[in-house]
Amino acid sequence: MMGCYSLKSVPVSGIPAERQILIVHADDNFWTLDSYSVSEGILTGHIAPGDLKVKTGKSAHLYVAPSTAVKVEGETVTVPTANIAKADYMAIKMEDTLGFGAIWAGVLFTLFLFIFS
Amino acid sequence: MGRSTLYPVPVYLLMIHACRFHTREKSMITTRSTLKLSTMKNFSIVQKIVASVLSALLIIQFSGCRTLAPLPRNDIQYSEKNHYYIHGTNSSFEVSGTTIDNGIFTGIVSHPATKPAKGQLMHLYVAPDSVIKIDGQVISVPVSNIAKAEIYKVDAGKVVAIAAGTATGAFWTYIIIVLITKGISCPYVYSESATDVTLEGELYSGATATPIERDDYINLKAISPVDDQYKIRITNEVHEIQNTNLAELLVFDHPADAEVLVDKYGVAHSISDMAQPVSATDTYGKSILAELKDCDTKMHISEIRNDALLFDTISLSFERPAHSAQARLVISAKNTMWLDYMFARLSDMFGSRYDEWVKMRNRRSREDLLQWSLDQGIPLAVYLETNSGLKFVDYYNVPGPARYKKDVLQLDLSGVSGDRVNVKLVSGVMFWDLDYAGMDFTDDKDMAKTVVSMTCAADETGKEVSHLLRYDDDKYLVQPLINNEARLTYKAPPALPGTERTVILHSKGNYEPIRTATGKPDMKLLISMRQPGMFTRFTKDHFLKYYAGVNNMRN
Repeated sequence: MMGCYSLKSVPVSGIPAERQILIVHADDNFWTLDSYSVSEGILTGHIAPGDLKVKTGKSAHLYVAPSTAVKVEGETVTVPTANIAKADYMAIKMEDTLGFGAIWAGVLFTLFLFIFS
Repeated sequence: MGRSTLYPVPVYLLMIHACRFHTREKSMITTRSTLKLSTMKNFSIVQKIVASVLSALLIIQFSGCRTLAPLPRNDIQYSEKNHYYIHGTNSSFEVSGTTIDNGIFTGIVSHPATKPAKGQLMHLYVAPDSVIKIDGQVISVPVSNIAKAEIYKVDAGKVVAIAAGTATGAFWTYIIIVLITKGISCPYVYSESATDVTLEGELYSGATATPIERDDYINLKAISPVDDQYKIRITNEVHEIQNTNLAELLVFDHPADAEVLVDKYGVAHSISDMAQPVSATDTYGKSILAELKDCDTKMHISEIRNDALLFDTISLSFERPAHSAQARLVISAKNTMWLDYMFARLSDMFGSRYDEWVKMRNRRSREDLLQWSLDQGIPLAVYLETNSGLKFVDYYNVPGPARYKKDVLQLDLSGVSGDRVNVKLVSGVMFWDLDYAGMDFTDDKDMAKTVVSMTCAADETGKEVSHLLRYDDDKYLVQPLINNEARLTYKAPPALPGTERTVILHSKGNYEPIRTATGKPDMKLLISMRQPGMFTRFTKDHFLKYYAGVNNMRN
């Protein structure tokens, strides 16, 4: 019902514009940013309010090492892009969605026949 | 004779062979309102679906239905992977032979000739690039600079979806094969009880021409009276014109320890002490005692070898009680779908002249047609070892492929001496599926027989048709179309106290398969079919040709 998602790895500059929410991971910590910019090798972002609802289709994840590379000042987070080991986001996979949709439709149809026959 | 090679029966044939039907009130698959695919004797649909799911899970486990999942950094050393991809921000390396010591991940740069299985892989994402140290072939990275670790895990969602999809696919494949192979059959008979409508079997199987119209006796095992009435249904579910002459019930009230069977001559036998064979072997001398011992999930179907043998000969030996002058040989068997399928292929070979062939068969004598059928091993021939040698004594009519049917033949043992009765059952290779064989040497027990004629019968339009079925005469219930159905009602006689009841449908009729083949017939091949065993050879050759094709594809 929700579609099939798969992890898509990209460089930081390749994160789609509509994914404005970033989740920055370092060790066991993470920060949720509701806006960000990249300039001169530094990613700067604003920490989102705690009640922000993060949607899979609107967010991306950054993995940073070492954790000391993440600087937090007030509501602002800065990270050198050289320390971002990975950036990824969950993207809908149309062929899987359609394929598995068809499979489940077949399964449900068959179960329906079993139950109501 | 060629080299003897064992050919196991291909899966699709087993599926074809395994097809059985029974019904309940509502329709599931076909346009018929009563047909429902259901259990196989060996494996129920549920069992098959579970097996399919498990098979799919097994395949998925080893075939890479996996997805990347994060792994906590502290678990890297415990993950038991043997091949790693280290991804820097601008570089990547393949590494094996790794260790973690004093917070440093160390490994050997390697490029395996074959791609490691996904289950053995781990991806490590490291930043910045400058922390990745390379010394010759040795690579090292501080664990604190590993920002993310990923491994491949079986994707539970995909597994469930694919397993369910596989099971569904297997189920529909099964249905399609069943429907495809329902090419030539005969009328189906269903019995009713208070709660169910059950397929009991087929009527007058093999009576594919008017001269070989025949009587048929089928035990209605699931019938029970509803409002003191027995109800059955006779249906046409395949492309053929079915002509039913007679449909009456024979009701037997008998001792509880006896089983009543009616042979093809209409003689009722009470079977009360079945002896199992002391030996049972197939054509190649292999024991099939376990297969024939009980009416259970084990059965015998001919083994196929690439040799000259066209007939399957089952040799049975029974201990003979002293002074026994006769015996009843009881079998439980059905025909394979393979026989149906190959007979349909034979019919199709007449192409545009099929109708001519049908007319010609209808003009031939009953004896000729029966002899041809026997010569091809279509009925199950019975041979008895006598003092003067092996003698053909009788044959079982084909029961059709839908259900196992118990049948009985009486054997005269006056020409047999010694303490053993040895019989041979002979049929074309892969034409019969034998589930049980036993012999009863006892005398018939007392039983009360009541012939019940129908009180009413209506076809699918509600038209009264009982006058067509009440007597063995020249009036027929003709069912030329799929979905033709007649519902027959009989008044149940009162049961006798202290007895058990067996209800048998006595029917008589014939049917004409309808084929839509076109093209020029292969007359040379068709004329050769007149020779004894040629149809059997045709079916075996076809099988071997098909199977050789499968082997080639695999290779």
